[in-house]
Amino acid sequence: MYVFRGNNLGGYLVLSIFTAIEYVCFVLVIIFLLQNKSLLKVVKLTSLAFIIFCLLSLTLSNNKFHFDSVQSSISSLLIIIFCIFYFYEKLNEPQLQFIYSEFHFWIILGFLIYLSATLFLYVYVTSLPELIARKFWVINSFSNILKNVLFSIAIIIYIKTPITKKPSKFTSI
Amino acid sequence: MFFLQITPPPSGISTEIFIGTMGMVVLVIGLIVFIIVHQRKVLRYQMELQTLEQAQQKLLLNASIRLQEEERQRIAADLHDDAGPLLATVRLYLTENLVNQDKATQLQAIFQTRQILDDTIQLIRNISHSLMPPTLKNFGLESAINDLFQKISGSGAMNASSRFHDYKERLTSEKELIVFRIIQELINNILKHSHSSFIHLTQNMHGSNFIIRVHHDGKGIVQADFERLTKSKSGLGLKNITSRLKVAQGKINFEKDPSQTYYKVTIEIPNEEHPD
Repeated sequence: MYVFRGNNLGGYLVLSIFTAIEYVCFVLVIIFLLQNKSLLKVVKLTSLAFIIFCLLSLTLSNNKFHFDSVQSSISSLLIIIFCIFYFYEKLNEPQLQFIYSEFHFWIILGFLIYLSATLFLYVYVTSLPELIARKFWVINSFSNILKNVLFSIAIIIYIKTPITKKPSKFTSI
Repeated sequence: MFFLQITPPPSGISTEIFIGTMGMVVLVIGLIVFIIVHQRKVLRYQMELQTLEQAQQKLLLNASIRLQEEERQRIAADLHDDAGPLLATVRLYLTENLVNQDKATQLQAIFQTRQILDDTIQLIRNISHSLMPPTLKNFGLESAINDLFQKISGSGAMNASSRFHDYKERLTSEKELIVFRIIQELINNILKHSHSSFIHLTQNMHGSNFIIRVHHDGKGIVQADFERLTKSKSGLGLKNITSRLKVAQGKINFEKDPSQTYYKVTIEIPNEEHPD
């Protein structure tokens, strides 16, 4: 609810930094999971461009609103696209087990649900009167809870999955 | 329920947010459902393929074991029925020699013994040749196949001819043996089932692939029959051909000539090893 606390540039700064950090965290997870080199290149270059855009917005902006609508919307859109990259890659690689038995599926699902549910809210929130925006903010809270539940499922699956050691180069000869 | 409490939407923007959010969530759920359903389908298909492949492998393995057993039984029968009595007769002659002191009879017995031993040596040589033809070992595939075809032609049963057009670069000895066994099996089948009046074999190279074509004018099979017989419980010889081709990473094709007069079998073996 920090979003609705007064119209000040400090709030905007905090939210912009939060958006950038959140984006970096999500993207790092996706980079860790992606294998395809060209997709990785796209993700890295786009992310670099986005971070530069965030920094520029922070320094140059004279935003009268307290919410970084543009950065949040772009960040959500980019992460959604990267999640689709992940699923595209998963569908193209040889299938050995069900996708939902892997912990990263639940992490990506968490990203997707949270960001797709909040995308339109982030796009339009600055156009809404504060009272209505507060009411709509429940979408953010609800999807955030759902995201955390999905992350918890991922953690449980990760813990329950037996660790398989990669065979060493010497034993494979 | 949270979404429903938001109604009534105060403006067009609220409706857009509501519809947009719902649309995005439905899209994501649709995407996830599609991915899961698709993956389940792919996995099920892969498992079916694997089961089929395992069944095929089992059939081939059984065929190869049965063939080995048949070969062993044949060798055992040859040794027991032919070499055994001959050697027993030799033993009788030698025992007779010990008992009978008459020089002339002894000489006669020794001569007979030598004769029987020569026959036994010839018999064992024949068994050994059927296991591994010496022509193949010493002079290569071309000579071994020419030799085989000359023997068939010499029997007068049918006209058999073979011609190697381009065999300067020889296959490895393992591959030569595989090709020879396949040809033997094919010829055996043609002699047994086709009632043809001629067999003609030609060899060519296509790039680095070694190609052999066998033509005959009798009753034959086409590729569909071959595949059906390989998958059925009968067709031991054809399964043997399939397993040998698998080892040599080769291909075989059974077809009827476009003129519908001849049956043609084409064998293709890569001259270079391809990693699996």
